[in-house]
Amino acid sequence: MLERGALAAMGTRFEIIVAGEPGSHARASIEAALAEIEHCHKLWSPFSGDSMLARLHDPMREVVPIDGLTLELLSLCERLERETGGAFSATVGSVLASRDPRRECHEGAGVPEGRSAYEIHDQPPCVRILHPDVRWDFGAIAKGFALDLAVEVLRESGVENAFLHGGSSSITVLGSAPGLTGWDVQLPHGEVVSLQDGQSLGVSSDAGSYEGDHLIDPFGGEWIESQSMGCWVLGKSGAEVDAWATALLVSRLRSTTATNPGNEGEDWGFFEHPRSEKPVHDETAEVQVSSLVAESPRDCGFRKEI
Amino acid sequence: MATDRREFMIQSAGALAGVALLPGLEGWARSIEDGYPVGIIGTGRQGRAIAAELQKIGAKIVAICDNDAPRLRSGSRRVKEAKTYSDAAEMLATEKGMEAVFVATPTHLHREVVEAAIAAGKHVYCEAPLAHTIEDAKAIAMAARGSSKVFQAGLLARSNPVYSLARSFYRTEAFLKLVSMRGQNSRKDSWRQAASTAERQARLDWRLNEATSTGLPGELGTHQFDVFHWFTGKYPVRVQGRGGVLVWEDGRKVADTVNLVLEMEGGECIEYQATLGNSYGGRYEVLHGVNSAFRLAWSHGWMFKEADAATQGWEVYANRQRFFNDEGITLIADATKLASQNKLKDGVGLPHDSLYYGIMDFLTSCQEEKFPTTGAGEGYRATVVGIAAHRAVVEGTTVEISPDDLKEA
Repeated sequence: MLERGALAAMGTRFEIIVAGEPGSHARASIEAALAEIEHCHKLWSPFSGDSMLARLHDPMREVVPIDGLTLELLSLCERLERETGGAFSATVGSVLASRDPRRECHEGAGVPEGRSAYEIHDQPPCVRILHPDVRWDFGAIAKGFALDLAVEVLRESGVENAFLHGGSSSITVLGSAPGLTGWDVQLPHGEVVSLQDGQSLGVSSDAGSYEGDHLIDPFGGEWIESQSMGCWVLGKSGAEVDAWATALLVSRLRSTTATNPGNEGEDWGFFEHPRSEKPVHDETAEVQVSSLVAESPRDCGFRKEI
Repeated sequence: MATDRREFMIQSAGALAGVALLPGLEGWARSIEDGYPVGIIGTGRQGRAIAAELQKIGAKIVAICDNDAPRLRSGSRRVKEAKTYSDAAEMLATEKGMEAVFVATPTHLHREVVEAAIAAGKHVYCEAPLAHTIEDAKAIAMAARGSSKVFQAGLLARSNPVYSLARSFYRTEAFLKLVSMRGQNSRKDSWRQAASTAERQARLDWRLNEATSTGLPGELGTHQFDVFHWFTGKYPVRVQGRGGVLVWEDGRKVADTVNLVLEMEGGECIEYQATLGNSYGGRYEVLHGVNSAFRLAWSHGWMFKEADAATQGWEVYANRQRFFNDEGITLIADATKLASQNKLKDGVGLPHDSLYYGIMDFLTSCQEEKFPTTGAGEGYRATVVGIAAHRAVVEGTTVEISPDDLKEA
């Protein structure tokens, strides 16, 4: 028995599938987990004037009080920027704004400022802004972070087997699919990976993007083409694998070296995929959940738009 | 060298002009410096939503309390600076500097917590409905009356700038005379809570427990009925209800879909529908008048004019949205000012959740020691109507509401 729920958030579609639980318990657990994702969406949406992100970008404030989850996310971003040698940076919002008319764009704000543009304090939780043009965009790491929170809720509810994804490029699992020893997912180049309990998979590529300008180079503040290249990373945290997938791909394309999160081929790897000839929606790209396709009709669950 | 952010902004004064016109932001800017000390009792979803708005406003959440350990942990993760308590009495006794308390416990536990908070000399914001029984609601209202501190019921329409604007038109020729009222609350949500033990499951599922729940009419309807109470200045004299478990057949007895007709003394009726089975249309209220109709959807509001209604001067500024065959004029707070700045579209939809405005009103009342927009009396009467409507659904009958029922004293 599979129970499925979905939510449109963070510019993509989140989906949670719970296996082996009574229907009402599975539904309640999924609803609670989706509520965590919705909360993250409200905190870090770049398109809402009411979000915590909007407060961070509020030009009236030098010191911005923040909530505990934003403190955790910013601290994680800071650490990962350090560990990836700058190949991952969440302060690429100004570059995104230069191409997206929905985002506020400041003249001359092109190059990401990185960790030098702000200080994080935890007592009380706040951010001191050191550069007026600093703009965050949490993108994939926020999706992974939201999935990590959702998994905690599911565990606390007693759910043992679940598959969670955001836009199918950020995946986290609990337990295994019915009758299997894990949750099998197919990468864009065809390889099947069996995800084990508590594992996360992050994929960074421009599969599904016909423009081919999926990535931002945090060093130069420019969009870079992935040249049909992608990167996958396995790990214990959805937030970390998403950040690492981006960082490793950026490093490869810039021919620089980043500290790697484990062994190539086992914990992470690159792949090549054909470029799409026309724009396709995010959820059709990236990975295929091969162990679920036959078992779970898409209309068996519920979905929510926010 | 990094530019000073304030200095940078002074150079960008043009950008500030638009921001200053948006409702609520002036209050935000003022109070964020104050760090007004507050506490939250109950850190479930509603308590955490209150915490999020308080953090935006800049209030200082000094303490949080919940007797459910996982919920308290979840609250603490969001409000890291707050002290945590599992017992409300201990929190109230210890936190002497805490000026105000937000009560977001399950409805049937409000009374004990509110009475203790008032006895401890705190300003109190209590979620609506105030209680699951008339007796408890009356006790809360009486305790609030006897307090020198502020008591605000968590009914949010009266603090909402879009609703205030619509109400100002309600009293003019633009609306003219009330014809009918309608409300709905549609969502796809099982209302069941997830827990790993049966004991915790039973405790968290209080909304599905017949002994503690006020059902959809009480938990959801109370907030929307108060819109109609506030606009018309009247309360229903009887309510007819129907409902059942049409979607979530998991053994529950509390209806997941209800239909109500609430009748006022002059014959005006509110038709109300709520369901947990389908989210189409969401939550809104409609008031039909002779010259126009208002559709109010909490963050947005529209006026639909009759063809024979006179054109108002301000309409030249108006934004319009098409709804099939009808055209709605968007109700925008501060529309004239925004129009003069060519920023009218910035005002379409409130910049904050309606909870933000309710909390802001409460904190302003506390700091300025004035009456809140929604006091214990309004909270009590809306609760009485909600409980009566729930009873009508449970019994499948018409329940009379006498003027005496609506008197808290």
